[in-house]
Amino acid sequence: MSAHSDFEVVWPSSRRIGTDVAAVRPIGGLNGKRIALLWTNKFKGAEMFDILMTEAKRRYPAVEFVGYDVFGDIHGPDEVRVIKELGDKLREHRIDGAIVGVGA
Amino acid sequence: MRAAAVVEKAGVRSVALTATGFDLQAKTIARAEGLRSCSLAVYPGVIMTDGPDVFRGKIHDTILPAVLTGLTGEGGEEPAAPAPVDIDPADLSFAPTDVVCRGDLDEIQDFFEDRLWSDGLPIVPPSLDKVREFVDASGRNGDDVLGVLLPAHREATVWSIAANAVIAGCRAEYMPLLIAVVECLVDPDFRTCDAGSTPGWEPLVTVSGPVVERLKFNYGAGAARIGRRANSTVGRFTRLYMRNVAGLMIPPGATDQAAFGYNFHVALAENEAVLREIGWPTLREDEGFSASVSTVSVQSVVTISAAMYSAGSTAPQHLNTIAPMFCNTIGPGSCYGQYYHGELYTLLAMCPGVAAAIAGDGWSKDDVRAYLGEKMRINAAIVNDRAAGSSGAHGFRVEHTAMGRRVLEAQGIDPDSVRSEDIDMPALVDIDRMAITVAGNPSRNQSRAFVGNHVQGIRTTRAIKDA
Repeated sequence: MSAHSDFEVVWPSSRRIGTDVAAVRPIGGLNGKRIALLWTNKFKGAEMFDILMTEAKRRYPAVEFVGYDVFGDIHGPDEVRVIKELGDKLREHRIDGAIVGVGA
Repeated sequence: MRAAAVVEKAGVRSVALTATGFDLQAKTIARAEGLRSCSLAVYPGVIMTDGPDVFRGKIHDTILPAVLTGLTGEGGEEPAAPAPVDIDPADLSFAPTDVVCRGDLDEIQDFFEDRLWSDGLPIVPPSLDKVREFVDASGRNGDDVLGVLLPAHREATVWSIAANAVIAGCRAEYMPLLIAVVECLVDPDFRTCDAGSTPGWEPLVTVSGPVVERLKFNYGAGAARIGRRANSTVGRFTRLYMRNVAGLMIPPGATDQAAFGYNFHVALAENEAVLREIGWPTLREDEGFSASVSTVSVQSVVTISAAMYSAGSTAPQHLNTIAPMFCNTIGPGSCYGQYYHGELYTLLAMCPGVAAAIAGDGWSKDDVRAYLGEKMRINAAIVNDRAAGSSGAHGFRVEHTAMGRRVLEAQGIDPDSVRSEDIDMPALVDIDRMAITVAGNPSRNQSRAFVGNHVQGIRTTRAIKDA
């Protein structure tokens, strides 16, 4: 520190841990695809999903949806278990895409 | 967003539903989770304040096209890599001993503020020499890693503890205590990942043991007020660490979405002399630690009671006054969280005179817990209304939760055949999760209740290991 009160300081944070994940490409038209619905059981998600399913089926009649009850509440009392099992369940149900909500 | 990240890591395309304001949080968390891009469908406005027609219109006009484009890639552009704030600390990385800025006090303040490394109060510049002094005082190596803190996924190192301790104005001799605080934060069950949730809970540090006197904590009048360096700076450090390392930041950051939040809590220290005198165990003994060690506990606090004055020389006189005010503090909001998530942690701090009167009547802490647990009741219909109103909790009925069924069936009540309006549920079910301590003005007869945020920031205790 100099006579005019200069400081040389370090940063207060630390290294970020983790590896980058390559972006998953869009899956194209939804006919023949299986779409998972994942929900927090909050913020009118049931109503949102109803509209989304109806409209998606109108445009892609052969799309299939796998309901949120299959996967469990992703932000509820069993969140840790639900999230831990999620990857396996997506594979088990041969899921091509997922709609995940609702963060609010 | 973390669930969407799990989906993407499983190789499945995802679209996350969120709302205005939360999109930046989602992008920041996505980046911290390692996602190079994320696909969002953002509801414009506040979901819970729109009527049915407006809601449906926004789903059709905004959410539906975003979801279809996000999934299919048809009719829109691939989302770009997220860029939530102009200067995002998550993008910065330095070696611990790198000098990141040289300047006078004002320049250092501005530099830290610009990079969101400040809590808004003047900081003590974390000079290399000062931080090294604090590391040395810890008896640990600066690069020791205590764990990883979410949502930022950053390492909790002894060096970073020292740097934030300097910034917060701590003394070097606090380092062993601060390390114990961070050991609590990195416990996955503490869930710093959820510390940016909208209820806006704040961590409260409680200190028990010989360290209280040694570090000159105030546990008397104004025990929860700033004014004593140990109490004030330990509290400030804790919030600052959750900001700078866990990454929880209010705007222009994006990860702290507290609707309001609260000021940081000063550390609350226990009046051990009075506890010994009245024959009650200390907080650390309640948590299973030896009386010879010192501990810190950290827990979330989302609500604090009003000043609960009580009078009389018997336990019921005091507790009959405390019970309804404590119950109001829990309220339907925390009651909903408790029954939904299955846990609720509270802390009851009594002034010495109140504790002495209750103990003098022959009551133990467990007697107090049992009595208050029995007295504090909330009508189920009110809890259910709160659940519907706050977040539209889907089909929530407190009497149908696992905890609600357990409570009612223990009373011989069929949860499926009662009307919500006709039953009062215990406001606090697992009474063992109510901590009781003694602090505050020894000349007055007041108590305060501190209520946590269900499974977020559960009370976590660690022993302080002297350097």
